[in-house]
Amino acid sequence: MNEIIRTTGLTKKYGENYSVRNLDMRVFENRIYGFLGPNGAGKSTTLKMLLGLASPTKGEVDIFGQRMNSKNRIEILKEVGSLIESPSYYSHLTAAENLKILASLLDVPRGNIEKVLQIVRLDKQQNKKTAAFSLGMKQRLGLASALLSFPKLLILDEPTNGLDPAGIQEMRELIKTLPRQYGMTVIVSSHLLSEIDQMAEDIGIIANGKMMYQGELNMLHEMDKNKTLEEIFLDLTGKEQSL
Amino acid sequence: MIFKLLKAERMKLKRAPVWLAFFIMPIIPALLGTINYLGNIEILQSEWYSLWTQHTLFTCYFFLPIMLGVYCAYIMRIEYNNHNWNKILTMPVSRNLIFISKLITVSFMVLISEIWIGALFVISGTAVGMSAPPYGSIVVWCLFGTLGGMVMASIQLMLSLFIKSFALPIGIAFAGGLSGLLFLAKGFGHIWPYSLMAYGMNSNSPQRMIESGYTGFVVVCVVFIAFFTIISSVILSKRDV
Amino acid sequence: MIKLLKCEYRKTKGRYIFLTALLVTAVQIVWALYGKYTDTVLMNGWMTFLYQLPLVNAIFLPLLSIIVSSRLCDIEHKGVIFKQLSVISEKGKIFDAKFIYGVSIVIFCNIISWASTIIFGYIIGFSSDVPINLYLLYLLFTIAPTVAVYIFQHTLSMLFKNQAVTFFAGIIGTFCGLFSMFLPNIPLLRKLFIWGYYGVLQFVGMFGWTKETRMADVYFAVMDIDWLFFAILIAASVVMYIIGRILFCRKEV
Repeated sequence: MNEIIRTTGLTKKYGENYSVRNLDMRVFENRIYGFLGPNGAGKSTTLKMLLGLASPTKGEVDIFGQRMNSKNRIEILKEVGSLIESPSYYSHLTAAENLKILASLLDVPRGNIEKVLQIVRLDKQQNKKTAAFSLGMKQRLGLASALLSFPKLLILDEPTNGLDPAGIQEMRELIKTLPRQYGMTVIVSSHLLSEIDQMAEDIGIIANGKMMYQGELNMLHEMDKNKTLEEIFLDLTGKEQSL
Repeated sequence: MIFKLLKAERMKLKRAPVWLAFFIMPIIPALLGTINYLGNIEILQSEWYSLWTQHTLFTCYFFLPIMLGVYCAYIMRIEYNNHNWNKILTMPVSRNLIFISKLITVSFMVLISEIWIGALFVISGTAVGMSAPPYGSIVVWCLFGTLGGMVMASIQLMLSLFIKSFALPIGIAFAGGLSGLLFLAKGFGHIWPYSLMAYGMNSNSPQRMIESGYTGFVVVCVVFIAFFTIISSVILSKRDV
Repeated sequence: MIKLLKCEYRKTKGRYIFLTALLVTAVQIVWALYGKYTDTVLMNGWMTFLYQLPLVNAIFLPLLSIIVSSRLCDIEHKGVIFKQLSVISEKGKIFDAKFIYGVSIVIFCNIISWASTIIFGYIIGFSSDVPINLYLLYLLFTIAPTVAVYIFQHTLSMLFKNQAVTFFAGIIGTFCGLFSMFLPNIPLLRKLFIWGYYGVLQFVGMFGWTKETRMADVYFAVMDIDWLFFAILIAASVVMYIIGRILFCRKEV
């Protein structure tokens, strides 16, 4: 299997505190990688470093076999779609106008806008100002903008935030189709084990900035037959952190 | 790549009629300055030149700096709101060009304002019965005013880039405009960034040519613009979002 | 109400609102007092100030109002706290509390610059005692238009999320007010804008200026005070406040 992402000794320090410590992440082509960890474990920081939004204190990021640095940054980002923290949008513009801005920066045909709006089922509300959007609609718009260029790699940070149960279900099903349908590789982060369990094929578990487990999700199930997945996860992340 | 970014900037400003403010603002001094000119016609004898001072004095020192400050703050503010930096900085475009495209966008507005100020000047002068407007000088004043305004725009964009607050950079623009008047009076108008617009527009003494010469003025402006652009680009590329 | 005011204070901690206001005031004081003080000026010092300062106020105080009100309200718009606050307490009361908090800062700054003017006059050696009655009147006539302007800015800041609107409207108003002060031959003009009332309420005039003698024979004198327009200004402020409050209460958050 092709490695899409490889980080070596990835570290981020804010002052004296480690947010991410010596992280070696491997993400393989055409797979869904679930990035799991309690709140504040360093998930967002790691994903930001992958995207060049934060610079590592130490360590390297390679994406598509290219080193993430100021020279390769633009080449890499052409093939990456992302939704980090909360969805980004200009609230005085409509959904379609927001996507138009991104489409021109990404050099993708205007037809893509209609396509992604349909995928996230916002095509009916595309001419509404985003200021009037509900949290769930904003989240869908965020996903639409990440999908806009049909990138090889999709990085989604807590994509089900703010969605209602039906929306969560829908988002989950959508993400599961992406590798097969568009040949994408997907990283999806979450603090909910149940969610990752239903989507991911591979899993990375992070706690206090350190990678506690990385590998196929099935293998995690096998680790200790006597325990539930929940219990294994709690063992790995430290019991004091409640989910 | 820069054209993509400029297009994106233009689209972002849709539904935000900032231009309206820049359209209304010069009308006030044109109208009131002309009335004032008529009221003091015995004291002010150099016709077009006196009228120019009436039109542009407050504009250069108080109002255009603040308006530019607001515009720059607004342009940066929409990126700070709703996590837009996250998106913009993961687009496959050069980070240096992001700042430059914003600077060009603001500069374009400065140019339009200057043209509008020039046009209002000719209209109101003709309306009060003066003949033969000094077109040559007007063009030079407006172009140099634009260049000086670009210096101010580059500082203000830089300030709004690293000061998250909306009002603070505008307060600085206001103080900057005042300092511009002070430095110009002390004879440093040709090297102080906040004086350059007023200096270029010759709003105090329109009859005199710029003492440092046209080339000198252009060089100073270009150096300032380059300086603030480079600093801002470095901030933008080094910064964690 | 006291609770809400305390709440305002806590929210503005670390936002340097008071400091920003003081800085603007400091610039204003320097700007107003900077100049050459010749013997003739020292002779007429107190009256000269009363003649000149309204113009300085007309530039600085509207700006101070814009900055303070915008910064106070921006905190709320940014965090979308209005929603939470409206649940907790009545919307009108939030409007009142924010107004009282902001306008107090602005009035306090007015008093500071007023006091420093007097202190400065004594230090530099104006050749008489301060005409305190006139100066108290001047203070009143400084605060009154400022409060009116502040009400205007406060309302805009509360109603519009986009603070650029507030700034542009305020600056254009300031501009009109400032220009109207240079047009004494059209006295009605300045009475039309709240920003022009620094000029309307200016009660010391300069006389004796001619092209030939220039400043040599100049003298200052107290003019008639336009109490009618002072009353109009107060009435306009009250009306503006009520309208602003109603608009804010009707606004959906």
